[in-house]
Amino acid sequence: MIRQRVREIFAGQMDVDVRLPFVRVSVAAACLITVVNMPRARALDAVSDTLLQPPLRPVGTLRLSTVKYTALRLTTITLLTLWGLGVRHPAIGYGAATGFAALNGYIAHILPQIWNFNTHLNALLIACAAVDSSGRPSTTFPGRRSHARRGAVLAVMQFATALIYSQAGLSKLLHGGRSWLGDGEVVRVSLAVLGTPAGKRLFHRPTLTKLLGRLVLIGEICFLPALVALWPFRWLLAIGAAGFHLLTAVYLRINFWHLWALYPALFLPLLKKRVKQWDLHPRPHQTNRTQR
Amino acid sequence: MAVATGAACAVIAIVHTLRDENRWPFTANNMFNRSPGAQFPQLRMQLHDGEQWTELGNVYGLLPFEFFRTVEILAAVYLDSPTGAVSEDRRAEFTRRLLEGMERGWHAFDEIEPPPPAPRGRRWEGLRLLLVTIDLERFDPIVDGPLDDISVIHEGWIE
Repeated sequence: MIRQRVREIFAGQMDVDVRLPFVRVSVAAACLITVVNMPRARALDAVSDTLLQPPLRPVGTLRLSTVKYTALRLTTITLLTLWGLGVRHPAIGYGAATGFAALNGYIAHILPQIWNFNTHLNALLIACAAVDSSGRPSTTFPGRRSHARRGAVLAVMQFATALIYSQAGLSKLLHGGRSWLGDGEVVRVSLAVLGTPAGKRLFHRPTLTKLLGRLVLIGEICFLPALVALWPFRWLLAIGAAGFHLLTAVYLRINFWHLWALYPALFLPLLKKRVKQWDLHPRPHQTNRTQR
Repeated sequence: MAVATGAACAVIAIVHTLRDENRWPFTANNMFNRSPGAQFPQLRMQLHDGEQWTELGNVYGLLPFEFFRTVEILAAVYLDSPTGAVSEDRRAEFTRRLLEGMERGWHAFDEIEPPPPAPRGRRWEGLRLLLVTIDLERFDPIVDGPLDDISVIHEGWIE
């Protein structure tokens, strides 16, 4: 039963030809939006002049000049645009992934203990770049077009996003247990300091905040096992997760857009059905086409 | 290969969660994982428009970073850190550049808040940072009070 499910997930996603280009465009767009909205060089300079110097950081801490930071941003924007538009050469994909990782890492490096937890975008960008994620057949890089490889990469990306919830749930259980399972104090603290008008009203309903705290914890911890158990209905889980983010946006103005924006591509049933029959033993004409 | 790499990264990420530490690119995903307690300190600010100070407000729009990073950056600069305190001269320079940056402005995006708008025809000339204590049992976020133990930790000006 479990073996069959694992095979279904990693080797049985028959819509990979249609889904992967959609994933590539979604990931490229999310990364592009992230880079475009990164702090301007002048604002970063003002902060770096203090944060990357003694006594807060050791002498010689890495620091990008205004020119290098701006050049890296412009190069990454160009590569992400080309790759998102479908230029399939591996150098473009890996270049975009490298540029994004460098920028994202540098922004995190300014204050390394906490940053916008969007590093799943790095992982998904690298995963997408590792295969031919375009929608058209290719004879230039046949290995990157392997159906098995592309299916496995798609499954890895789906599980990478699901892992985030289970990590968050595990972290709450291990390190904040009582304040989540008991009195729901952390929910009230969050509403007190970040609440929207709706969140501030919710603050005054402690029974509801206690219940919400428990539901969030259980939902997050169960997300990964639920994805495996309910694999044929994964789109339903994705909608549930997006609903959860919508609620946090309504009450706390935190929406984690860079995660749920990828769900239509990763999980939802595709409107355009162009699914080809595929199994582990491709028919002769398919083999010939990729070897040509 | 892809599955093995993904599995290895997942294990490393879970170890970060168990250890409750973030080390880019691996994150513990430990946002909101624990409560600071029923009474907790919070940074607040007032801005001076050349005539008067504003009411106590939150600090989220003082820098073009996510609100939680803005708080941490301000705490690193204006509060004494384990690695040593930033000098008063450096703090004054940081404040000056912060106010200049607010005058140039930036747009809101995701968890980045825009700077509070200055009154028409004026600019923000001074910044006062304060530390307050919030008691969850008595605090009402709708009226934003009461705030306890209010103390000024820094006051700086654009010139």
